[in-house]
Amino acid sequence: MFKKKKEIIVTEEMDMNTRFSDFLRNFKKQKTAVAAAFVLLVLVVIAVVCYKVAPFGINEYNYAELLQGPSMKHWFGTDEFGRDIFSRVLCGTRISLSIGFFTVTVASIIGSVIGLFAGYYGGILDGIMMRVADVLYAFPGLILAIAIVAILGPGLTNVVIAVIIFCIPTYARLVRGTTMQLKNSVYVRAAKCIGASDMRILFKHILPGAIPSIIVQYSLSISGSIMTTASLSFLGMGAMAPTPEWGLMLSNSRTYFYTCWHYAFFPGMAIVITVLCFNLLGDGLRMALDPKLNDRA
Amino acid sequence: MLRYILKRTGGILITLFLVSIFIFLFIRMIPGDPARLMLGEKATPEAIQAITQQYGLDKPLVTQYVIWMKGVLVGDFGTSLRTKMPVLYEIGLRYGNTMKLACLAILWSVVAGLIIGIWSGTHASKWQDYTGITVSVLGQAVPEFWIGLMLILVFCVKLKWFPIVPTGTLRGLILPAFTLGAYMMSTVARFTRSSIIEALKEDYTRTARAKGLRERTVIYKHVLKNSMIPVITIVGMQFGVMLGGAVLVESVFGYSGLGLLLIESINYRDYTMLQTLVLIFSLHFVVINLLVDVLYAVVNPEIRLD
Repeated sequence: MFKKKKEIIVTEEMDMNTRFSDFLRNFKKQKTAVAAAFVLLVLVVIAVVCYKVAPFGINEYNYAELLQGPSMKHWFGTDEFGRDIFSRVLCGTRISLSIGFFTVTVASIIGSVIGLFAGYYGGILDGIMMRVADVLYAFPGLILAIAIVAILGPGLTNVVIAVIIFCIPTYARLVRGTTMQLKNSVYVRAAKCIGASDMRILFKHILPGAIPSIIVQYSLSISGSIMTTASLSFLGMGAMAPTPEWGLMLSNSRTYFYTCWHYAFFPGMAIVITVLCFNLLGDGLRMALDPKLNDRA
Repeated sequence: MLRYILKRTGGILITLFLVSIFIFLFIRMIPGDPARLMLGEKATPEAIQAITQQYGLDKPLVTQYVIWMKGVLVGDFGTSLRTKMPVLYEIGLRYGNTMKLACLAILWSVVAGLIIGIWSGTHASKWQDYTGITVSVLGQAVPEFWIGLMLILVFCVKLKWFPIVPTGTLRGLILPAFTLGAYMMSTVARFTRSSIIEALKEDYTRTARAKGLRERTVIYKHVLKNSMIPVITIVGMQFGVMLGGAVLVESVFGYSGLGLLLIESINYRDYTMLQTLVLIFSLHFVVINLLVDVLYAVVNPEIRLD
């Protein structure tokens, strides 16, 4: 009996390994996705070192140079307090990326656990969880986040909570679907026969099967999370001054916007580049995990 | 078919019932005394007492819900805390504006998305395809509020082609509708493209070609008809994203619609208005999704059978 158990695990591990190398080989073929991954790596590095490399402090007021256009000294120009927009955009990377990674990581863990239990045990638990997900889905995208922030009050912390709540149902549904498929597969039944506990089956045998789709969704959700955070800040419900958050900078730029284009342009470009890279990475990952999808964009 | 519609409608009604409970709990979830929250810090005890009685806040939750629901079902959503006018009246003033904007946005985005998608899909892996992909990938990454700002900058400030504050006229609606539809256009283009590429591989396409039909007939009569199903679904699903986008677009352009009303009611802590707006937004979303499901069943008989 013990020997059999070992065999199953060994073949499973081999299976995972070959799948991973297949995946890597397929991923390398996705040139745009590899490029996007590289740009994201640069952005992560920027997020780590931004305060050290920024040429000016994020709240370094300079009333002699208000609202100046891009120049050699201030690459992206200056804002209404004479602050260097380049430095602020650079430091905004840390805020957006950390909120993106944090919210989606928490949401994917909570959502996956809910999905695993709902899919495996079914019954009332499943019914309740999926009804809750339905209700959350009945609110159009951003409106749900706005409603949650309206209840909790404005501020970045509450935006983080709103985005987490907003992302959970996606993962719950995704993992529930895979769990229901894998529940009746031969290897899960085999594991059950040799007396593996439910927890072991769920987390050691079923969860790995759901990981690929979770990873793809992870990348796509981060771009959604960054976009939602910026949108809420733009509407005045997220980051508060003087935080160098991209959405907030865009919102402030509106007052001065008829005279200086650069103020609105650069923070927006930062959002576009970041979101674009996460989207491209997500698409590339999806195609690498399922090469049949290659023709679908 | 009728059975399918009834079944789906039943499911939607249950969801809407749960949504209404969620929205009902909305004001009650805000920490603190709702009456005080509505009236602000300086409210007199008498005023708080009056509001508490007016909204029945001293009654048990279930009773409160029944009272609220009774009102909602006959169209009485209460009075706006900000303007002291019936909520529905205030919403009625702006409703048409948002609908005009949304309809125009859907119209252009679906038409443009289909054209780009067909063009890309029928020229897979050629320069037309790459142009199409680039447009749609960019369209999905650019935030609505940023496109809006950049468009105002170029077309209103520099070129002076459009009024900066949109009026109700079609001319004033062009930029907001373009901004709102950009994301939907990209999504429609992507789905049309992949769906056409799939359909081109099918046996019926080969048969149509083998019969000696012109390529144009093959594409428009056989391929396109079959590849529309996923496109219909995605338009329905994206409608919700569009409602959220309307909040941003209306805020950027200062366009007086439901989205701007939502933002204003949050800033003024107008909770009755907020509650009703959220309900109306989700009602629209759910009903549109139901319509899409039904339409889906009309074009695809397989769905009806199970």
